[in-house]
Amino acid sequence: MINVAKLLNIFQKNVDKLGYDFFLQPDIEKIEDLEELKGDVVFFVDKSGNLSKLRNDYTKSVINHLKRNNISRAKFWYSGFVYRYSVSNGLFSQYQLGLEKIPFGNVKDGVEIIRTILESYIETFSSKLLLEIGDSRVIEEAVKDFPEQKRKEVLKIVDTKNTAELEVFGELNDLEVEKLLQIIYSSFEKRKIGEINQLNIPYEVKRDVEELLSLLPEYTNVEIEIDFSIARTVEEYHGLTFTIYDLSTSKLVAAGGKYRLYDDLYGIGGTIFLEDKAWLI
Amino acid sequence: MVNIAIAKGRLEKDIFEFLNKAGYRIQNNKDSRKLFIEDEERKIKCFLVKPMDVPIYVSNNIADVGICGTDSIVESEVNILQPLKLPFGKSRMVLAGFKNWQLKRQPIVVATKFPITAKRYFESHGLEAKIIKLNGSVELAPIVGLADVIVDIVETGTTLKENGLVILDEIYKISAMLVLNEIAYRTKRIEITEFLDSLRGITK
Repeated sequence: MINVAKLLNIFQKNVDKLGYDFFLQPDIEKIEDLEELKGDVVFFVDKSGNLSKLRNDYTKSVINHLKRNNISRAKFWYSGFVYRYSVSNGLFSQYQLGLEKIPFGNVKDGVEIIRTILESYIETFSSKLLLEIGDSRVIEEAVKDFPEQKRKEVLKIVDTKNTAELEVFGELNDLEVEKLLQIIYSSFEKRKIGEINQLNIPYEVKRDVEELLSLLPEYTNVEIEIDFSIARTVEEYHGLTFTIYDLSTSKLVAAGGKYRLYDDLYGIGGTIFLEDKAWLI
Repeated sequence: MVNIAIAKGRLEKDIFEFLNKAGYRIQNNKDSRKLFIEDEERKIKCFLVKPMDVPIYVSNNIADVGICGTDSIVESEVNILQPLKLPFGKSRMVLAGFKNWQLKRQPIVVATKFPITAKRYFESHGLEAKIIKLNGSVELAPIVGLADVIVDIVETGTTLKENGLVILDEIYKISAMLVLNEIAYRTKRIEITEFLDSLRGITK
């Protein structure tokens, strides 16, 4: 696994310099809240009737660890597999390599996370990358009056940028989806950094995104664009988000953003996902 | 080269006129046996398929881009990007039946060419429906007693009126849409953005 070993070495060198500690936890985690059984979680019952699951997301594992131990300050990096189940793919695994910083202080923390991921990936694979910067608050604002139950369904549709479906969903459920449609259409039309002022988005979002972009160095192999239509992040994130695509394969290879742990405590993190490349020899 | 799947039939003429207006030199010669219509200079290659198949060609990355109606996208149930609504092909998907039709029994028997739309419409209203898929002359179904109501596309409403039927409810508005394959959008970004910009120029 030459590529993965190289990526891991480079990533480790980068996070060591920044003072991150290695987060090591077993792949099997106890289920403490039945809410965790939702979605793609792989779970089982042991002989004593206790529910456990295979880790399905490293960020969630880190958050649970911090909450269990009442920790409000940490810098962790991790490397390992997560396991998920889908009807079409059955049980599948994905290699994740990432880092989490708690608490989120300011935009500079976001820059630290994005730079570490981008620079580790570029040094390993030398592919051309597309970095999309967004902010979950834009969509949050557009769906704030929707009933909770419909919100989840709408976010799923927005994430696919299926505007026909969104309009039909709006008609059938009597929901005003015009703002969401505008967010999606703008995500195709106005993606250049300089076009951010033409978008109808909250002032705080503009300010944070502009600051983040001004702090990122220029990379010859990375195109940077803005996209506020990434709705899957709304449930998980609260504020800045980013996604990175490898343009040679058009695959999503990394993502992350700012999230809320509880009350006023926020964290920020990012993960590189490897499916095929993890098996290259 | 941007590969474009174009819906045959109702939208065909408007699509070619629209592309010509955007500066693409392509002609739809119905007598020709050529499968592909190309503008070599502007680097687009078009092929005609059944409207319902446009989303399939695009989602499977055979076509980078497609032009079809909202109804084809909804019925295909595939996820494809839709960056642009086009200014033609306006119509409505409606529930239609006899003027004083009232819900007396369930399941309601519905005849339609659009079973996905019909199913979703009745589900969203909490009603049980038996859906009969037809391939044409849907208006006939209530008249001959095959169905209680129909779900169909209406442009002017003349056909309904001629058959003694009326619109009972509007389900959604239909428009011609530009659809886009997600992979092509990233790997052919420059060509596709250029194509989108040229169309956007005449939609405003």
